[in-house]
Amino acid sequence: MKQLDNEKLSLFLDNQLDSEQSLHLLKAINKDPALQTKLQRYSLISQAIKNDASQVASSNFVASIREEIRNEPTYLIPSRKAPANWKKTAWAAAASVLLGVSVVTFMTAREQAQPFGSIQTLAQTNKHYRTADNTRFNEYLQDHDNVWYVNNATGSQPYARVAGYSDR
Amino acid sequence: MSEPFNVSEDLDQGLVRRVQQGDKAAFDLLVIKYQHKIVHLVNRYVKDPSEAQDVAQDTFIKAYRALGDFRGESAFYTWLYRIAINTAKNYLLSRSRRHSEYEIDVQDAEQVENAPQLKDMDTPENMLMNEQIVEVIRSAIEKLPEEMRIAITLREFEGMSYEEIAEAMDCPIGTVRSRIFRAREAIDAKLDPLIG
Repeated sequence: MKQLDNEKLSLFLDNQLDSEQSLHLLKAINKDPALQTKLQRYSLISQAIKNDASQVASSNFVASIREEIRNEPTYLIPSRKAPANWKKTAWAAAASVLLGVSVVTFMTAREQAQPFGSIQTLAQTNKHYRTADNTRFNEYLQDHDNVWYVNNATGSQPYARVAGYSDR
Repeated sequence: MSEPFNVSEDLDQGLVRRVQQGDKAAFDLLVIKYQHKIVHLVNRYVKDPSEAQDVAQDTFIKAYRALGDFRGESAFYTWLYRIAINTAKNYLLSRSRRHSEYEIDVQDAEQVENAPQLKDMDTPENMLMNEQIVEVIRSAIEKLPEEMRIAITLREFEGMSYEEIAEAMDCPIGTVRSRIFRAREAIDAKLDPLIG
């Protein structure tokens, strides 16, 4: 058992354990002075090999900090859960985008499938606009046809009148 | 198995969250995990071993006090590392200016990193002990069987992952694990008479 724990300690130092195994081992170290000493020794060896220097935490290091922290206030920060609404909003936005893309794709596809239908629609629209323009142009001509008689000066005009043709 | 460095961050985040929710015992686990690294780091600035221990303890206490504001934007160890360096520099500065209440902030701490007056001096006893430990470890490594010596050297000197070592030594990862562990055990046995 000790051998196995020591082997895990070696893997832990090299970051080879997963989260759960690491947590389990840390709890074991916390309760077992022999494992604490082993961790201290392995750390010392590692540092001495790498740096020609050796300085690790003393055996009462954790206990001293625990004692200091006992007098500190306890945190009671509520856990930050990912809000459920956020997910709903994200799904709704994604669905909206998909719907929009689908509609545009469908319309584009339909237009491509019926090119003559589009041309007919354009022609009908142009015809409608042309009729409206003709009506307005006729109204303009009728309005200005009376100019001759307005000023009691038949056959002549005192000044040039330029009729504006404005869009109303 | 490759280096699962995210695993360590996940574990740290979980422990930090537990501390933030009122579980002080979770902080013990963070201290256990990083105590030796932090003492070693502080020791680069504060050479006196007992002062280095105090400064490292201060680091953890400061970290605990600031943990309420820690949002996990950086890795816990990166955050702790910064606190340790600034605590060590502040300690040296306040000691060199014993009569001043001036304390450097983070930016100043970065700028004064190499100031010679902030380098602590090795004590003769500490230097001797260090030399002896390093000597014993080197001698122990030389006496290791070749495959163990290569495995521990590649890991500690070269910083190679187990996967890379397995490839370099043309053996399964399980064998690498075993060789590194047995190398550590063998070196540890040689240290016993000195620090046992």
